[in-house]
Amino acid sequence: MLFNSFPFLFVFLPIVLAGMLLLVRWRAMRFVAWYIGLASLVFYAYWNPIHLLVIVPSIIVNFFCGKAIVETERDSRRRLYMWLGVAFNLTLLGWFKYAPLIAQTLVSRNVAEFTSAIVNPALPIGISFYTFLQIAYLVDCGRASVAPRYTFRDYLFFVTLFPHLIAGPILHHAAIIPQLQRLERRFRADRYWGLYFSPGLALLIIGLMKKVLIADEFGGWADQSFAAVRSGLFGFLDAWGGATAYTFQIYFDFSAYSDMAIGLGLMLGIVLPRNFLSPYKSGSIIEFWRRWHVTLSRFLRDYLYIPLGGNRAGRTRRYVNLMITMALGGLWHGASWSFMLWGVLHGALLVINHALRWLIPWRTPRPLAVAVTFFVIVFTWVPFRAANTADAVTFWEHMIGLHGIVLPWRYQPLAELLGLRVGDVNYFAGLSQVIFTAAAACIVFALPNAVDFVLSHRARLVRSPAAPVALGVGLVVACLVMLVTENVTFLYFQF
Amino acid sequence: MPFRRADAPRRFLVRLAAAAFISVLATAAVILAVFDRTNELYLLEIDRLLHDDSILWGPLFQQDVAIWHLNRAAIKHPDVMVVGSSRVTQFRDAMLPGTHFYNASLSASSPWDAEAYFRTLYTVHKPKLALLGIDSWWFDATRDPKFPPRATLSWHFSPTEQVAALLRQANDIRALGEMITTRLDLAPDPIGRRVPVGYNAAAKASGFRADGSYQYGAILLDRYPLYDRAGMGFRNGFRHERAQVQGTVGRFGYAGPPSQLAAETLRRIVHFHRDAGVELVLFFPPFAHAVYAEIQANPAQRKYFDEITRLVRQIAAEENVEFHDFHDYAKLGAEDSQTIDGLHVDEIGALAQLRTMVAAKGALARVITPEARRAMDALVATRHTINKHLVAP
Repeated sequence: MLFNSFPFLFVFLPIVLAGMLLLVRWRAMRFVAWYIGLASLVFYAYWNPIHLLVIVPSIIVNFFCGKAIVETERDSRRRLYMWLGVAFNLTLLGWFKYAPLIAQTLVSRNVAEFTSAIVNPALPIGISFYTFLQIAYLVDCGRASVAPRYTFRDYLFFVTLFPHLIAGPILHHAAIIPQLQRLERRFRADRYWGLYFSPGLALLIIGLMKKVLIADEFGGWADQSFAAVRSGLFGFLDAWGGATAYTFQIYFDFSAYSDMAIGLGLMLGIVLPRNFLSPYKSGSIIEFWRRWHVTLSRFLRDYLYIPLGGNRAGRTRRYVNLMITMALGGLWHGASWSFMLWGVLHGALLVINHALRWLIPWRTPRPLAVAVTFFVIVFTWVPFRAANTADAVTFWEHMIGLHGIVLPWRYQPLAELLGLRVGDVNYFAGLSQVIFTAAAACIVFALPNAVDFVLSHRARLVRSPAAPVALGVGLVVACLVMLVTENVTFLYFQF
Repeated sequence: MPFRRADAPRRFLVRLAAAAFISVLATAAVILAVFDRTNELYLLEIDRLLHDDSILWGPLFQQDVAIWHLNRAAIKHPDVMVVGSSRVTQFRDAMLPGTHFYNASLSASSPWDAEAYFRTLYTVHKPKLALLGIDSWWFDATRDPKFPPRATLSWHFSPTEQVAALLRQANDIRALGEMITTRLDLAPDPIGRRVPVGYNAAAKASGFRADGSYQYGAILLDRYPLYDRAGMGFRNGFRHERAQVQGTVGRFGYAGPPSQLAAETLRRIVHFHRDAGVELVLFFPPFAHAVYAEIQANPAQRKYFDEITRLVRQIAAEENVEFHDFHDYAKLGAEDSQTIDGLHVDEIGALAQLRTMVAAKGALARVITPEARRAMDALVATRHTINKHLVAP
């Protein structure tokens, strides 16, 4: 059940909300967490009920492992339990997500096969997300002087909460479970509808519009371009069209999911952490990673980079730690060596970025820094999206014009002026794509972040006569497009 | 307290619901208006589209053509039918009088399309003979489907599909501009005097006739500005098409090993016909001779064409199926001026292909009547009476 599907929006969500509000009205607050936890398992089972056989034992084992850690006095035993729990989680993740990669690696005959992404229908959806947040919980139990003590109900609610279950954000137990104590206050009629439900609904609709009206449109262009890279029909404009389309697709797709997740959380009275802070406005790769998938970056920093030594053991060690963290972060995205290559590429860019900051005392003007960072990001998305590294290299060759530059027939005068060839341009949608991309760029670079905007203008939003009208129209347009197009999954669902 | 007035959120939700409701009505009105403006409202009278032989159906969107051909073929019960891409559109029932003929052109742009079309149609009607036009790019291995293709087609026209196509078209600014600004002519089309149904029929006199063949009105009436600009067709020396061959781009963008998946599918189609008791003839539709000469002059293209010809010939020989290689238009005794463009021959070229099949004393010769054979010869004499590219209005 995708967030951008009719069964979710018009069946599952209304039923969950109605049930929750009835429990609130009956003053049965202690059942709300159970109710949402179980509803979330139904949501999860809708994908494939058999995957409950993975997530439910994982929750039970982790809960009791955490309990054993916090109830044990001796440090050595606490550490033992913690490592056993972490090993259990990594084994689970490794078995389901990375075993097929190892199998493919063993039988690969060339670079293309070695670096091809694996389609693994048996992969339990969301396993990367719920495994990571449970690892963080166990490590915190092992580290904390005052260890967290939760009930199973609270823990189940935290792990399964459906707005984050499939594609993040990677929640931290300390940021979510304490909110259960505040639910009763949040559900007071004078607060809930104005402070939580309405802004949450607004974010849900904004996210839906971003996904259906923008991301999926770019997705169509990106898909056809990346699929055609090996065909003789592919060229310079096709490559740039595909790369920019994917750059905007993944941006709006992830931004949409993040908006919808936060919106759904608010509708349930829960404030989820921010995961997406307008990353293309970054003036450097370092800044990009502070804005893109914030909760993953934070997890990797707190539970990998810092334990590796972080920046405390000299500059060289810091760079090595960065490379290791980014390589594993890349591999977390999918069972393919090309994801690791993408991580290594970003690790190298981060190292270069840190080194340049150390070597060069002056700062690049902000607009130039943003533009350069953006173009670097466009290039680095290529191996992330390409079917394998060989395709990515061919794609890059087309982007830098190694296979020549061909303009469409109608631009013959311009081509003659520039000394270029004219011919068929098969995988670039031309003027429509240029205009659509320019409009999307305006949204990305000129408009404020949707979550920032909605949350900081909650009062005005609810009182404004125009906002609900715009949202209502947007909802209908998005639904209309959903009605007539194939339901496209969120990109981060596959990770 | 930001929300002292508890009715503010309620007003917010009521306004949102009201705006959504009004938007639904407005969207429906806009869609109806665009369909009305583009002569596409026939969707409300699908029955006429399927049963009225006096119309020229030129849809704005092509996505339902195979479905239309399915329904039409089921209604017409042809003994002989042609299936293929745009390169088989010019076969007419007037070429085979006395024989129930139907042309399901444009319903197969790949072997997978063809297989799905045959499998679906033969559940309700089996002709005696099917002619399958095979394009060279069917063996482009880069076009192999990534996922298993549809095994069968739907029989139903879907209004949702039409709205979907409209919305897809709506973000193509050039197409949208053309849709809004083009003057439609709802009078009978100037070539065949058929009633125009659909945007392309009214705007360009282009569309499908009752026998399933396609009238390239825009080209026959010289209403296709890009034709000369791009250097297409005989009068431009087939500049566009030859450049594609020279550059190994466009339809000629692949010159690697022929797709084995396509070959397997073709073999499956042959087996399916044998099991269904329907005779099958495979053929390569012609290219203009100038284009074919360009193919022969390009070593990579020549090798590719040799390989696919050898492959299909081998399948035909092993499976005992008739096969005609018409790639070189000159070998049919036709002139390059008898073409729509370098990839599409006109009705004179289509007639030449049928006559060659009959002269080979193959399956077609067994199915058609002697009258049809005589009529074919007569058409050669009386051609050019309507338009130099047509054998009948």
